[in-house]
Amino acid sequence: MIQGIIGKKVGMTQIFTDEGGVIPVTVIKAGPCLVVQKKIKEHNEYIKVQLGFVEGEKVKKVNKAIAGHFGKAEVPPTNVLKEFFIDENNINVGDSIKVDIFEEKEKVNITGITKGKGFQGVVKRWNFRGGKATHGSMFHRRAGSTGMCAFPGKVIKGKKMPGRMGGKRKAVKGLNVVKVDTEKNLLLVKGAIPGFNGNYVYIFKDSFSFKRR
Amino acid sequence: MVEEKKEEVSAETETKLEAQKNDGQKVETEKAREAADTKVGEVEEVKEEQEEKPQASTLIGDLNFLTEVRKDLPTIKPGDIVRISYRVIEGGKERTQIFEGTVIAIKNSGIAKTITVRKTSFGIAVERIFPLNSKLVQKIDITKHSKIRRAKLYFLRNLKGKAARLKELR
Repeated sequence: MIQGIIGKKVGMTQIFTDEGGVIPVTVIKAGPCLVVQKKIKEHNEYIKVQLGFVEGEKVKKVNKAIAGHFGKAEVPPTNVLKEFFIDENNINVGDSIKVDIFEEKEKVNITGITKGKGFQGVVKRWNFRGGKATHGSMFHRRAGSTGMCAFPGKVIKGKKMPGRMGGKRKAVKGLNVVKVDTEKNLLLVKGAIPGFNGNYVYIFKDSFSFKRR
Repeated sequence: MVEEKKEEVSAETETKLEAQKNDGQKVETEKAREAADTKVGEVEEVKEEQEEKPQASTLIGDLNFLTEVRKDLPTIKPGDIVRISYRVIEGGKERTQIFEGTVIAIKNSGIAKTITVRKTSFGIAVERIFPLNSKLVQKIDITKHSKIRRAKLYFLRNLKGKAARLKELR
């Protein structure tokens, strides 16, 4: 079994159940992925495979180093490469990993880059409560005190302050798989996932447990 | 059930001639409406084709198979008086219920399209939101069209009795 697969966020839509319920789903184009490299580390006691996410269009600009890397595996070059653990030594270079590694009602963890929000204050960035809007409070969306006095005489590291928000790697855990479309390589999960439509995401099986060999 | 009886009574009180006239006019308006509907549908289809051409290879094209919108329902406009039959599941049993009222708002588009229907029963107004693509909505009949000047008829919420009527579109 492989730990996960590379995908691309397509967008969100709705699915209607027979009982009249509505499920909000995110559609992900997951795979097919080709195994570009296999790393067996006897010292670290693990096996990893490097997957390349195959998209419809041919990758045109490839430098010699990348071309050599893919040429060694005899697979076409791809834009994205990502390593995943495998628990049995049954996957080889050149193999194709498809979305059928997932089942319906299975739980998955999805990692992606969140949407960039720019420079934001503490209310939006850290969910501070802010002050009263009226009654002359003069303290609306401020951060408040950032520390103590002459001791320690500094602001403690990691203090929540305004700054750049979003555009960071974020994981969403425990999403339910609603549907697996093996023909069109689509994976439908309940709920939202990080990032813009068209962003690359990594989908991990929640049930995968890495055992040291 | 009580409402339906009321309607029947009111229908009986009307003279037959008037009823016939109304029927004839209704049929005419329905025909005109249907023709308009088909025209609108054609235009929309053409637009879609034009948009799809440059987007043929993009990812959004893949979503179309998921967002299959029901085509068996008539095109509903705000101000229409509709009869909606929808499935009700109670205690493992299924039955069909009918909700009749005025469409005061249409929200969203495509698979997420909903209509807000308002009716007044025994002096108490009831509003219900129906997702048109839900499998619980079985059938929608349009009984009347109203002459309206805005897309959202929320002003009806502040009106009572005779003032809350809409002029019928003939």
